[in-house]
Amino acid sequence: MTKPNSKAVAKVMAITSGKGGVGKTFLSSNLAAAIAKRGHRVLVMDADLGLANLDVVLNLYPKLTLHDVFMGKAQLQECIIKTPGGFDVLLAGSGLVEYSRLTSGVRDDFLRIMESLHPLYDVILLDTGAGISDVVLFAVSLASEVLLVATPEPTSLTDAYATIKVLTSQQKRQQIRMIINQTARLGDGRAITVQLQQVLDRFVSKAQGVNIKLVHTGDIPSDPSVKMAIMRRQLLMLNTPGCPAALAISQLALKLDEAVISRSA
Amino acid sequence: MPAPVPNTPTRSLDLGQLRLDDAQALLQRVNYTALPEMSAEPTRYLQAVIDGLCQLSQRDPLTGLANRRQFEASLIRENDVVARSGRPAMLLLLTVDHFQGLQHTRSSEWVDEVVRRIAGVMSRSVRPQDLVARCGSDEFAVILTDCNAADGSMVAERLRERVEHLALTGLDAKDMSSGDLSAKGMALTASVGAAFAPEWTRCPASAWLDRADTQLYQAKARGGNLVCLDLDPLVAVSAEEKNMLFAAFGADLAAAGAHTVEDSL
Repeated sequence: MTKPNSKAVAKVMAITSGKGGVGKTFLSSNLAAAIAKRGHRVLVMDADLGLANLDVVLNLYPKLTLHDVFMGKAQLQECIIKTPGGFDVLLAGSGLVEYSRLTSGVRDDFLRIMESLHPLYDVILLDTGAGISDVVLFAVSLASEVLLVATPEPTSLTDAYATIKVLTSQQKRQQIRMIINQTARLGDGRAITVQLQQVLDRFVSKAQGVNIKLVHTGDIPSDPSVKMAIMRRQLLMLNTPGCPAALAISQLALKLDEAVISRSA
Repeated sequence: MPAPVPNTPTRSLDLGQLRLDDAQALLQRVNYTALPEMSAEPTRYLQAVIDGLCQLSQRDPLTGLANRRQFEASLIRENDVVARSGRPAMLLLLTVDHFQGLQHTRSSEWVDEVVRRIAGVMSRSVRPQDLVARCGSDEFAVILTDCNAADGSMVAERLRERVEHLALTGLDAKDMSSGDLSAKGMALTASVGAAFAPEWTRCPASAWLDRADTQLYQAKARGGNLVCLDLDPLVAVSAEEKNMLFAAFGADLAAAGAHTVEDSL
């Protein structure tokens, strides 16, 4: 996988999903905390252009956002928020929804901002929207790694499958990392990934002449602590760091550290 | 101890201080029945005047349908519902074929009556929760809320058919020129451009409108009296693919994990 900017320092990972409500923002923020705990400089960026719930999940009330940077009203540094989880957050601001037609000007603005953020961080997590809108595809195109979050439900899997098809055909992605959230039993996430891979092999790989490799990267078990942390608008990793879901996220951070973050640093 | 702050304003409303004549006359002219007697409680009366004016500002005076203002607001709201609630929706744009020709050859009274009849037939062809709007002289829009692609396509075709078979009886009496449309080789037909928004789609409302507009343009370019649909084929997942995708749900998910899959690193 090639990086958008060869001079870049930060590893850019897009966290996306086919369907909304599968825990993307929850995972982005808690994974960021887990990676930060491993000693890396982490930024989570709202790549949903103002529709992300990062501010809700993290209980943030930003005065300045990326929208203000685009409008020339603020400097980028002024908009970066430090969180208790040891990572930074950059919110897009609701005004950015207006931008989501993704004109070439907006793309250029975004690329310029990404470029100036690269030297400041080891990891940039892009919290993208659900589905396959232009904005999502653009955000994903900026990332060297795609983490696709799905839950073990038919609707979530169908949408995840559709998203993989599009990422393969539109962006020629050859590898997508799967994270299955809210699994009931050990092994469910792997089984789902196997199933998705088999359908892709049969219906997509042959048709498009490309091999898409799904990498089962982690499962987050169903855990009542997650709901509690969300209701309290706190990070799970700080609230109940020893609960099964938090341990799974730490494990996920370890895997990503070894496979992606520290590999060519 | 400071005095308690009163919850209600101390000054009462004096309707005599307000110039409500124009608003009252306007509401009477359109037979707005929700206006209470002047002797009613002043705040209640004023609220009713404001409500009446708001309602008027969203209606098309000729047909009684929603006007462009209400349509645009509804489209933005529906777009948000699609992105957030997981309910799909369909947007239809309908225009009368060769409308300019009709305007040149028929009286304005005749044209108005045709527009009214089309509005009527469109309103009767959709569910109460759907929005039918008149956005321009012969431009109509329909937002089919919580609607799957198959049903939306059926409604689009139904609208086209019903306009084609619209009863024009009694219209010639209103016309300064004589003879029916078909005798002049100008059958009354309409073209429909439709854009489906699958659940969780996140893109701006303007992009949704553009997609429907492109389809309408195609329907016109292909001779009119046609429905053209954008079903967003990128997300299409066939029944065969779904069957294979869900196969694991019937069996034991964890057992399916026994197959090989690229794991973690």
